[in-house]
Amino acid sequence: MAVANPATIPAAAPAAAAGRLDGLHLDAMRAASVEVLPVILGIIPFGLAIGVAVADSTVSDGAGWAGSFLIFAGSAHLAAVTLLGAGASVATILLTVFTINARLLVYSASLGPTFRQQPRWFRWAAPYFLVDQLFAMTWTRVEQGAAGAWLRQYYLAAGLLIGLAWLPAIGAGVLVGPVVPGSWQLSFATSALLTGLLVPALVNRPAWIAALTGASIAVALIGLPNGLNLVAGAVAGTIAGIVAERSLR
Amino acid sequence: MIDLAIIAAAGVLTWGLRASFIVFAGDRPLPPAAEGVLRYARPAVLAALVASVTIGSGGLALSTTVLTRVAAAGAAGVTAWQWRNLALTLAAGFAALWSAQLAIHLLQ
Repeated sequence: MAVANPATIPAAAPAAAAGRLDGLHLDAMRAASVEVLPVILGIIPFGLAIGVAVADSTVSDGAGWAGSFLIFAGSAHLAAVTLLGAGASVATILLTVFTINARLLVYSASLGPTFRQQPRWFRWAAPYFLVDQLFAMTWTRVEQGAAGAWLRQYYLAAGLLIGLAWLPAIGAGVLVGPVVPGSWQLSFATSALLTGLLVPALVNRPAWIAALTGASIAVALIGLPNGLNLVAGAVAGTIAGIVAERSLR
Repeated sequence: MIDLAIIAAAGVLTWGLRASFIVFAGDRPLPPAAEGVLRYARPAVLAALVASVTIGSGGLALSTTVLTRVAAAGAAGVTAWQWRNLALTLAAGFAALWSAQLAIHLLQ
């Protein structure tokens, strides 16, 4: 990722600073646009595959696509659509979404102190856009000393651009999915995607133990109604991970 | 309609997690007890999902279809491990799935 010299970031620069027009930090938006490009290239296939999963499930296309802007978090969106299509209960779906997205608490806690200095409207609007990649971009900038209006405009520009790519990518997947012949087995996209999301979470041995326990329990209890096998797998896996961490220390 | 309502509820929940500290808790740090849960909940639930989606409602009464999907998911996993790239992971998974299907078709 191209990162400018920290000294060039006009965190508390006067209004007359270069690149500023009526309160707009054009350089912040330019930096955001450049840095968000590889992110967008990465999320387009992800969005397409989620759209295919929506088209393949029994969930209505409209509701499934609406998750793109209502949830705005790919892994939780995919899980919600998959579970909804499989007839899981509302409690199971929400618990799964909560578990998958719990890492957002860490992002929120990390950015909290910096964003506290921002206007109230921004503190209410900013969380909407807080996806993994935007957190990584913003955190890099914050550690370099970015703050104030510059940081605000950098964050919002990057977040809006991600949204502008994300919504149509999922929509395109919803439209393309049904056109593809059934023998291509596009429903496998959900398995492949979830695998691709799981692997980066396997950061150490306890995480592997958490995953193996979660998967074994979920498979062993696969006949349970309402997706309860997933809840049991998630709870058992999390406990196994914590216990493994304590005993391996 | 009920689908849309559930998706919307998932959206509100997600916004709440993102807003937790930025809007509500401010400078307070994350409680240490929560950290273990946060570290291991994601791999646990994603693995549970991968396993049940790949194997399907038939459970351990394994069919050829299920076995090819499990093998293809394995290929996707190895690719994800090696390259950490979602597009490549998808491509490898489908390449494995389709070649396995072709092989089975030719052998029959």
